[in-house]
Amino acid sequence: MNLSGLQLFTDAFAQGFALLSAGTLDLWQIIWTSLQVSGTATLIAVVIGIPAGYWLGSRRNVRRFTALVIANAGMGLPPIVAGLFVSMLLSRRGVFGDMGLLYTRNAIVIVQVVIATPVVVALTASGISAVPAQLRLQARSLGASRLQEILLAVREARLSILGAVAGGFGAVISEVGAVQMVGGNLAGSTQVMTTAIMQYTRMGRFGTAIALSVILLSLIILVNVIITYEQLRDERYTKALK
Amino acid sequence: MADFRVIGAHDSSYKIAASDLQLRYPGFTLDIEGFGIKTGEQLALLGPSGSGKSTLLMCMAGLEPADSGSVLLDGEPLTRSSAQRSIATVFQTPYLFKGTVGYNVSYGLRMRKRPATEIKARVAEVLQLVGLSNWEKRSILGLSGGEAQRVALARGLVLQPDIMMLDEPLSSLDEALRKTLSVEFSEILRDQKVTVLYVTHSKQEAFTVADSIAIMKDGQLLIHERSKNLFAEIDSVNAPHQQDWLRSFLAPDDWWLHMEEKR
Repeated sequence: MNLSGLQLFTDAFAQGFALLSAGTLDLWQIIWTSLQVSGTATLIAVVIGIPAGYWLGSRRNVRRFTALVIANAGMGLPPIVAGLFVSMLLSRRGVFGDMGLLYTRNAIVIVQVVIATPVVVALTASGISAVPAQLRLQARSLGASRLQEILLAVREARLSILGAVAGGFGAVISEVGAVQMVGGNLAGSTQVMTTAIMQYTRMGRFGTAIALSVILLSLIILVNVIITYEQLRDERYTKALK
Repeated sequence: MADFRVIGAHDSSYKIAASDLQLRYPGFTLDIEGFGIKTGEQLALLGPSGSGKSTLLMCMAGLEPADSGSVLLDGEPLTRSSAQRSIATVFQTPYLFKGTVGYNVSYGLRMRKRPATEIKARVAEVLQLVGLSNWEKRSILGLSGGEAQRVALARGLVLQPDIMMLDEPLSSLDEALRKTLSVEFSEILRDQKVTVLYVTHSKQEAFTVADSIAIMKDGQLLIHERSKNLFAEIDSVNAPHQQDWLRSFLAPDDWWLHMEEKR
């Protein structure tokens, strides 16, 4: 065992923080690209996934079962497979080849939407289906319109839905294989945190890789802090006032 | 008896009436020839579990569509909007919405987009009525079963509905609380001069709450009569075996006598 190898870590951390605090432009640009791309993808996945998940979670029939199986399986879809299919669709000989999307940020958004949507759908559906049907009948009998009934169910399931959004974002921000395939890791345009970390690690530039990893980890922790905070608030409020 | 039979569906003396109502589930058929509640009547719908009381209530409340037949509210076919205007319901499980007592009680008024000052005043008024003065800010999650049902009752009463429909509202509570609350609820409902449909399997609750009683068995209505005439009118029920069943169903509970015999 080569204990002096540990110095790699201390050096890399020191260098990483130096890079970040110096505000090195290309480093922050990579971070910004990641946030933009994954933020957009999550937003689109939410716009598609929450209504779809609501529909799935509030129906009781065979079609729902089939769709739920697809959504749940979709959560386990290997991102690399999604990457393969999107690459084939966007490649020059592919169906959408003439749009010239491959190796652009939009290509990354597309593949991330494919990865995040099933997560949002499945988690939303499970949250909504936990809301008792009678609760909606109760709301209806108190004068809720159809839309107000839906809003009530969403409100009752808000923690699950928050989890669904965070789950979708978490899945895509830390994805690397599919993003590399369709985005190509082009410096200054399609390079995101994960692909950059991979590249800098290969090059032995551990400081830069560590700097990006710290940011990535912090983001994931931040998202989880928000969710846990909300969950605990719900719990506190369960126990409170009695 | 004839006093309560629904002669024609358009009989205007009924606040709400059902005729030729049919609803089939696997292993169960609801079959109601005629059933009506007069304005201001406080009716208890009584019967053993599975007799179709709750299903009938859900149909009358417009919350469950029947396979055939009609429900008339003030002589007009019941619609989603007319049901929402006139009927408020309380279920066995209170199904309170996440949030505070105030959020729950004000829900219907907010759906009706009433002004905030009116909502605040009405909610305070109704909470006082059900014995929960100044509970607006409390979370529903700390409530006991009895308190939760008070909130559920307030949530309906706040709308000043013409009809209150209560589906086994006290059945999940312990016996002592059930006794006190049934007395209290019946006084509140009487004071509000609201038409009441009160579904219960407890004879005691039925006689406490209502001034008339309807009894169901196997999806059919056997009798609908003023409480004080109920026993006398059993003889006018058509089928003799139904008369026998009604007599044994209404017989006082005498389990403790059997216990004495055993000793």
